[in-house]
Amino acid sequence: MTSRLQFPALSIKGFRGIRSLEISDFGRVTLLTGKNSIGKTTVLEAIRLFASRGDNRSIISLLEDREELLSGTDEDGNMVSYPNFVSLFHNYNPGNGQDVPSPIEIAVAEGSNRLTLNLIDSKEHEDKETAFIDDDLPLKDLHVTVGKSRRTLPVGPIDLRFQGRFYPNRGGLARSPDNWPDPIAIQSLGPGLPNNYEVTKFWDNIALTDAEDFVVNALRLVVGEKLERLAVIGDASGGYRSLRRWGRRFVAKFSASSDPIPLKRLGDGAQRLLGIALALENCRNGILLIDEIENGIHYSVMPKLWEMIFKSAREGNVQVIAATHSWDCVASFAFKSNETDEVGALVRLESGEDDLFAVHYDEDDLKAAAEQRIEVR
Amino acid sequence: MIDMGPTTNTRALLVEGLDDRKVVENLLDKCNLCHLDIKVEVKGGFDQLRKSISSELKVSGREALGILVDANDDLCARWQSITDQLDRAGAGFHAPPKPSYGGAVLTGSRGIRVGVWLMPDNRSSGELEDFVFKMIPQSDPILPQSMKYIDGIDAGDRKFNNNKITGAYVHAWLATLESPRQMGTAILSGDLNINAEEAVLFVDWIKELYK
Repeated sequence: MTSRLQFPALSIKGFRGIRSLEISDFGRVTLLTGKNSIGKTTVLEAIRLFASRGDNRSIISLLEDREELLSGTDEDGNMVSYPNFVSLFHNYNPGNGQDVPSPIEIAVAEGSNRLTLNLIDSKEHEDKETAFIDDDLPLKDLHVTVGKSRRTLPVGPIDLRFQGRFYPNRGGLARSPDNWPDPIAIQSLGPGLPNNYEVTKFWDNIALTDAEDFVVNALRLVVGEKLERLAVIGDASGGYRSLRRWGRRFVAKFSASSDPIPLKRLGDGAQRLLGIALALENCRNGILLIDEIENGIHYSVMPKLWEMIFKSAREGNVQVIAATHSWDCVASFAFKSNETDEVGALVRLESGEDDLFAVHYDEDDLKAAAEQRIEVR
Repeated sequence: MIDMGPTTNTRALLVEGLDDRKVVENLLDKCNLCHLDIKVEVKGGFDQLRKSISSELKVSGREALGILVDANDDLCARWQSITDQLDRAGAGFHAPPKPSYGGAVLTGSRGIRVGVWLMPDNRSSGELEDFVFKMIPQSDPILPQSMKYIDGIDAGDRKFNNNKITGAYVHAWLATLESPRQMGTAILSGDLNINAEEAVLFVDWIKELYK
C-alpha cells in the first residue's frame, strides 16, 4: 500500500527549457525516461527547487551545478561569484528588450505551497554597478513566493569557499524568514560518482544504527558477500576542498583480507551503490532523486537494486524519482514494481510541436512492455 | 549481454497470430503497398494483444497503430475490450459504441491514429478464415467440392467446432491448389482474389490508417 506521496503530480511553468509541463502520476518509485537533453534533469531540478521551498542554497546550487555562476572580483579585489538568475527562466533574453520573463511556477497540486519565482528590478544595486563583472548581467533580483510567504534574493556576490555555503552580508543572501514553509527532505544523486564529502556526511548520520547494516547489505550486491564492515577514516579538518588523499573516505573490510581496502578500489558500481543506499537512509519521509541510475551498475545487479530501492522506499517513506536511458534498467524496474505492493510508474518526456509533454506508464503498461519488449524510452 | 532494447517503428499493426501476419503482409505486397512501411507485430493471442495496446500506443514517435483481431463469437464484446484499452491509454480517442463497417480509424491527441479491424468484416462473427473464404473466386469449380467434402464428414467424426467450418472449407480448398499452400501464399500466387469486396475494404482501411 502506498502512503501519501510528497509528489503525486507536478506542474512546471517557465523553468529553463520547459515552457509548461504537467506530470500527473508519480509512483512511490518513478522512472523518468526521454531522449538526451529533453529536460529530464530540468524536471529533477524543479523538484529540488520545490522541495527546498526556493531556498537560497538550493537556487545557488542549481546554478553552480550547470556552471551558471559568473565569477570575477568585487570592488575590494576579492574573488566572488554572482548568480545569473536569468538562466533559470524559460526563453528569456534580456538583450531583446523583453523587460521581465514569465514567472517560474512549480506546484504539486492545486492549493499547495506553489513556488513562484519572478525577476524584478534590483533596488539595492541601482548605484553600485561597479560591483558587477559582466555588463550583460541584468540588475534583477529574484523574488521568491511560496504559498503566501514572499522574499527577495538580491542579485549580488556570493562566496562559495565552503560546501556549507557562507554568504557575506554584502550579497544579502539572507536566511529564509521564520514563517517560511518547511522544506521537504530531499537528496539528489547526479549521474557521476558521489563525492567523499557527501557520502561520509551521510554515514555520520547513520553510523552504528540498523541503517548501517542496510548499507553494507546494499554494497554486497556488487562487491559480494565477503564484505564484512565499512568505516570512514581520514582527516576532516581540511573541509570540503581539502586534499582528497587525506580527506574523509570509506574503507571496507573483507573476510578474505586482513587489511581494510579503500572503497575507491572497489570500482564505480560499489561507489554508486553506496551513494544510493546512504542517500535512501538520509531522506526518510522525503524525496530521493537519482540521475542516470544505471551508471556504473552491471545490468545483472539491476533487479536486486530495484528490490532494495522499493523495500527501503516503503520502510523509510521515501519517494524515489530516477532518470535512465537503459532498457535493462526499465525492464527490471517493470518486473520488480509488479512484484511489490508499492506503486511503480514510468514517465517519458517527449517534445511536442512547441513544448514538452509527459507520457505516463502504469504498472500494467510496464509489465506488458517488459514482457513483450515494447519500447518505453 | 547488455540488452539494447526493442526496435521501434512509427507505424505498427498488432495481430494475434502468424497467419494473420502472412495474410496482411502478402495482401499489402500484392497491392503494392509495401512502401507504407508497417511493422506487423504478432502478439500470440488476443489476451496478449489486448494487454499491449496501451504501451504500443505510447511508443515514442508512434504515428499510427492498427489492431487486427478476430471477432469470434461476440463482435461487440471484442470491440468493447479493445476500446476499454484505448480509454485506459488516455490518448483522447472517442471510440463509437459499435464497430464500423469498413473498419474504424480514430484520431487521438497529437494526431496519433488508431485503427481497429474485426475479422472478417467488422459486422459478423468469425475469424481470419472467414475473410479469406470471401477472397476465393466465386466461379472457382473446386470450392463446392471442397465444401462438400467437409460437409460430408459425420458430425461425430468432426474434431473442429461448428463455428470453425468456414476455416475447414478454406483449408480443404487450399489443399487442392497447384502447390497446396497457406492462406498468405495463396494471395501472392493469385489464387485468392484481392478484388473481393472485403479485401478491398480492408486495403482501404489500411490506406486510411497509414496514409
